[in-house]
Amino acid sequence: MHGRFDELGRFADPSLLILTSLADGPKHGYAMMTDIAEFSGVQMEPGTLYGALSRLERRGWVRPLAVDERRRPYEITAAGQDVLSQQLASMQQIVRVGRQRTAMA
Amino acid sequence: MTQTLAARLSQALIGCYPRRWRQRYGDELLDVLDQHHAGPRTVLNLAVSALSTHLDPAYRMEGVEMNRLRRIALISAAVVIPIALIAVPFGVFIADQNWKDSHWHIGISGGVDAMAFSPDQHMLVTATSGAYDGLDTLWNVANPARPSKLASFEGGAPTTLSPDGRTVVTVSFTDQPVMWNVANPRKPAKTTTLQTGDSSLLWGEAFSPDGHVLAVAYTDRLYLWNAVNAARPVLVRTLADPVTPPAPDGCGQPCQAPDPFYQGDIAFSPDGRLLAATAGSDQIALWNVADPARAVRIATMPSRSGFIDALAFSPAGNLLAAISYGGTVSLFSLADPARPARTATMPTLPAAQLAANPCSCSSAVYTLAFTADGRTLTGVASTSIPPKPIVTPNAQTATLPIRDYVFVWNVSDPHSVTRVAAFSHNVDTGYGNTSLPLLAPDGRTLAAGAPSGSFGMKLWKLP
Repeated sequence: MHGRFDELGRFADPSLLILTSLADGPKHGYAMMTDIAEFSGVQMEPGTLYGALSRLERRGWVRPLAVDERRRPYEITAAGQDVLSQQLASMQQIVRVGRQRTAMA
Repeated sequence: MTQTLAARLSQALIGCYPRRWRQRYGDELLDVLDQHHAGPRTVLNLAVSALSTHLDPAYRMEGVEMNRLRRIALISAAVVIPIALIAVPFGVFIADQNWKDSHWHIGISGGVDAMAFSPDQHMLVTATSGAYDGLDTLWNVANPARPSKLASFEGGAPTTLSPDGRTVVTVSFTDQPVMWNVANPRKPAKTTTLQTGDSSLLWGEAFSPDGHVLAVAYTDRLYLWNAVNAARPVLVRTLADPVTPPAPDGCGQPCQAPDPFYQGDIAFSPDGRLLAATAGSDQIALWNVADPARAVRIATMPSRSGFIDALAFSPAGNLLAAISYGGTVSLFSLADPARPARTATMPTLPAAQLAANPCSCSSAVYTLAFTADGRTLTGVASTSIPPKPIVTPNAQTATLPIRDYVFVWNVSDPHSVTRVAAFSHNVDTGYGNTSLPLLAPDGRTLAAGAPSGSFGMKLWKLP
């Protein structure tokens, strides 16, 4: 179960949400926060967002785009999509087993 | 926390991120904050995030920079630490050398009723009266700038310390002397209670300079104990000290002691051969105690100015000074101890109060001491009574604060005594009444104790 995501430590969960948010197209910081809040209900704070973003960028999983005034959009890279897919597959496995077991109970 | 304040704090916290991080993400984060409804959670989140970014290896200082910093820190430490190791103790030493006074709280209720210094002036014992019992406290005053408490134990006034500082004598509930072994001053141990069988007031205790004899003074008797074995003193002599009738004073009425628990003074001569004690209402008795078992009264000196409050032998033993409640100092030559000769009489400031208080029974408390060279005699009167009322500009009478009035005389020639200094000092023990003063053996240090309440003790170096 241990994947590259785990290396992100406490930023693993925010990173999963960020990559998921960027999966349907580039977004700047505040747009990511509102999108994440909409699809997951998680009110991500700016400190957490940029803590995770800087780590994702360093790993090459997201890429900064040209600044539009002070707003800089980010897009997910191919490597980021791979990692996201692996993580989602791993989570899907957990979901499947969990559902089976809860159904049996 | 208001939203505006949270927003401002959040923006300010961006400045706490590492510089390279701010250059890269600072503007973006500010833009997010402009749109975000910042709250306390945002502030906390940014603070934690800024801290963790500093710990992030990617934003820690680079190796070269760290090495440089380490080198600078090592060099600074190598320079600063030795300087501090020398300068700090030296500074403390200088400060201690220049100490003028120290003031501390005794930490218990009850006033200071009695005090005694060890001859080397390293220890001070104070006796305080509580609501139900008395307590003695030993203080380390070797460094008078920083007195420290050694121990407290059951006791009360009077109290005294043996010359070797290993024994404290206190008093029991039934007015019997109690010996305490304070060889380990942090763990005093009661050794014995001396049974005199005397039911009158025990008012004075004193050790001979060699510590071999303990004199104990009751209302009309003196008891001499052989204290060579401090754990088992042996009574060697009882001296009758008949009370003489009170003499009329300047008002034509007997001058009453201002305190029913009146305590006079008792003192051995430096060679231990003489014992002086206040006697009756206005006398000083001189006893030859060279052989304590055959001690005999050899002289009686009238004070001529009421009760005697304090006595002091000169270091050479050739002079005896006494100060009365009226504030008059009498100096006696002991060239022939059997015939003490009054050589001088010196008034002190409270004597000047006599105009307002003609009965010569002031509420002052006194202490006397010679300096080690025997050339100087210092007398201290602690009084709350001002020498004369002060009339303020609005024609109201003001009261002077409690003060110690200090007088210094040159007694090189006991027949021609000259006053070399007279000044007052605000005692400020925290209690607005007469303090209990005691001059230390050096004659240059004054201890003052508050007479009531959990107030203060003060040590003061006479200027």
